[in-house]
Amino acid sequence: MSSLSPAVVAAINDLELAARLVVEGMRVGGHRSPFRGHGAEFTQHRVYRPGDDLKHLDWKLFGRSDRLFTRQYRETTNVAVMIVLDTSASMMFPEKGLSKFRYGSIIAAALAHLVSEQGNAVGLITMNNGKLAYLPTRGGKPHLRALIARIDRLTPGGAFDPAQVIARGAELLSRRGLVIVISDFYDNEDDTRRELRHTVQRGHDVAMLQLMSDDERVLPYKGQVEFEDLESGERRLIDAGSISAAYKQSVDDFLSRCRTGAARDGIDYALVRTDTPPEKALRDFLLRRNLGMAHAHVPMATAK
Amino acid sequence: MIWQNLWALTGLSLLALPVLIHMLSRKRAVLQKFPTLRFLNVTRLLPTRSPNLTDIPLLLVRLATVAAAVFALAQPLWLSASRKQSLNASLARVIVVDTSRSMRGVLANGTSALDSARALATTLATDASTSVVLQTASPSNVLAGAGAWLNTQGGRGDVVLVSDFQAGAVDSAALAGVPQQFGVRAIRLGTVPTTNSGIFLHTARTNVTATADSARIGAEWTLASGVASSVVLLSALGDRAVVDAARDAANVVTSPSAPDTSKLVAIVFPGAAEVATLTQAAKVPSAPWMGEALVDVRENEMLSSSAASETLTDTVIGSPFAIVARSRTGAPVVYAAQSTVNGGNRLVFFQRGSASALSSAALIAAVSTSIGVASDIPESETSALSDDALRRLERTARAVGAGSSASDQRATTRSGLSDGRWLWIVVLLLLGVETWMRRKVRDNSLLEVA
Repeated sequence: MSSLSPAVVAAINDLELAARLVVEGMRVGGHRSPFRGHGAEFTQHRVYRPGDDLKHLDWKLFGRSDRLFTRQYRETTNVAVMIVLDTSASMMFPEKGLSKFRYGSIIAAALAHLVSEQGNAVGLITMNNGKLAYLPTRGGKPHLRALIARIDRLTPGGAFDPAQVIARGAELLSRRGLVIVISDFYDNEDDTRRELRHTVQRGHDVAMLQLMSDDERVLPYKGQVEFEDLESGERRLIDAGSISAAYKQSVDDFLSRCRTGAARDGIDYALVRTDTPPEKALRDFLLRRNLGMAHAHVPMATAK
Repeated sequence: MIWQNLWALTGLSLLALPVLIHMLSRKRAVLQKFPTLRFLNVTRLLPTRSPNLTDIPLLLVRLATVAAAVFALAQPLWLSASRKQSLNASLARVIVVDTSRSMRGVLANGTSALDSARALATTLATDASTSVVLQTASPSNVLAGAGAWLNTQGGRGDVVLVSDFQAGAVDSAALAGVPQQFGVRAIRLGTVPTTNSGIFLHTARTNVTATADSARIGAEWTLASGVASSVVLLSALGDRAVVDAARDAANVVTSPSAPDTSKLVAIVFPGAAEVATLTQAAKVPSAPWMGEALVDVRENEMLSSSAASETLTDTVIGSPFAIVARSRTGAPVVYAAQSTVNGGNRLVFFQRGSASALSSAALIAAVSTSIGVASDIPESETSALSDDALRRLERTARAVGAGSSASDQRATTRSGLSDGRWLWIVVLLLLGVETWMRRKVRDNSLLEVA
């Protein structure tokens, strides 16, 4: 199936249909779940590398072969995935075409679809009109439909405190699970990062999907432009052409901070550009998780 | 193509306005909603004015709009063949009727040349779309005014002269007062012969006795035998000799031209037995010639100066009498009305002064001059312009679209025709395009400022 362009996806009003199309589009054959649970089914041995947890060393094999091997496991239990969706006003950008919020909604719905299809539990937490709104993690199609319908009813705008939402989402996971945060991460950068770190420290797997449009990255405007902050309404008259280089540098710095912070805290991070077909963005994200599960995050994945 | 409001083209100077607006207009910042301002640092703003013209297509549309509006105000008119034909169908005409005394002669059909001229003028007037009839004893003097009036009318026009065309009455210098684009027609009506016949008008009903010696040449005019005078002098019996003397004196100062016997006049001197009867039967003059005779007599300088020297008591002369001459103190000396004498209607002049007064002789002279065919020197011209000379004076009216833009402009203005409405439609279309372009610029101004 060919990739669905963002414009085509934006034209599909039915979020469930869009999510299913995205999921179908990224499906390239049977594959293992990218959502690592904490089951204990042994899968294979791997040569020990310094830093591996010593408790996963196969001492018996060491006795037989005189070589160090680490035991690897595959999940055997269902994983609970809590999706955190940013509904702040900044997500309404760009006003024309596919907004970040719509793009994030499709990604969230597609993830929920994927998670639910693989027999896992999925939940949603966000803020709607300034109040926390969530669906607990459950499996099954009825729950999936309710979740997608809830996403579809969300309207961006109003207050959104990412730290509070993430904290509450992590609390709602009764056991260790996966928290996927879909946001532009503009709001309360330090608090958000601290809360993400806390979530990881509480044993949850955390993934950041940072959405950004091209116009936000390169500031293509020229001449005098009066910018209005979508969240605060503040206006600033700026000679856009003269600051575009400095702006791009600032944005790159910000993205770099997000990326390095995530890596430091053991968080999956993916920068998703809204001009990328959603299924491609999702596939890239999931492939990276699979690779991470196989390599970079093996110690975490094998932890019991 | 004719511009009916040529002055409106000065409005083309307004074309500078859109250029100036484009050069001086401040650039308007475009409002752009943005997720966050945290990375947008305040910078020094660009100058809001640019010496370079911006948005050339929009400027061109605006220039075209202004130009089309100016052209529309100038009311252009495309002179097609049908329009030329229509415009040429309208004709302004001035008919100049010569009312000099030479025109009072009776034509072969029994009517006076002047009456025939007036009737002809009425007919000529109905042939034109706009016309005016000028009746004057000096046609040359009114030609410039006629030309000016035609100029105000615009379009085709002509001057029709109805006269006997005594030699010297109208010449090319006088006709120069009529602009070249207007036509000139000459219609001869009168009794003046085109060849010099020597003594004019006196040959038929007057006798001339010429005397000559070594010192002087003299001539005496007397009415031919059998020719009755149309002037009756009524006086007291005792004044008869004085009245004859006054008549003789009058004959000295004026030539006894052949009187028009259709014009009956009476002069009543003080003491005449008929005064009471004539006064009682008096009424307002009813014949046109009576009015003309009254005016002529009133304007007679010799009568007015001699009457001024009269010393008479003031009295009130009311209707139907018309005062013809007054003394220096304002007392009426001569007054007139229509009355019945011997069963016929006559114009009766009442002389209050003595029959022996100078004003009596002057009154007789003025009356006989006024009802005579010709007596003053210009009117004594014995020949008229030849037909060839008349043809040389004539010219045809220039048609609309034949080269004179000023007259064409007036003609088309008077017609009310204009192609300006098509330009107004163009203006509306251009305004629509301009609005569309402005909106497009605004919509596209995410990247550019207008």
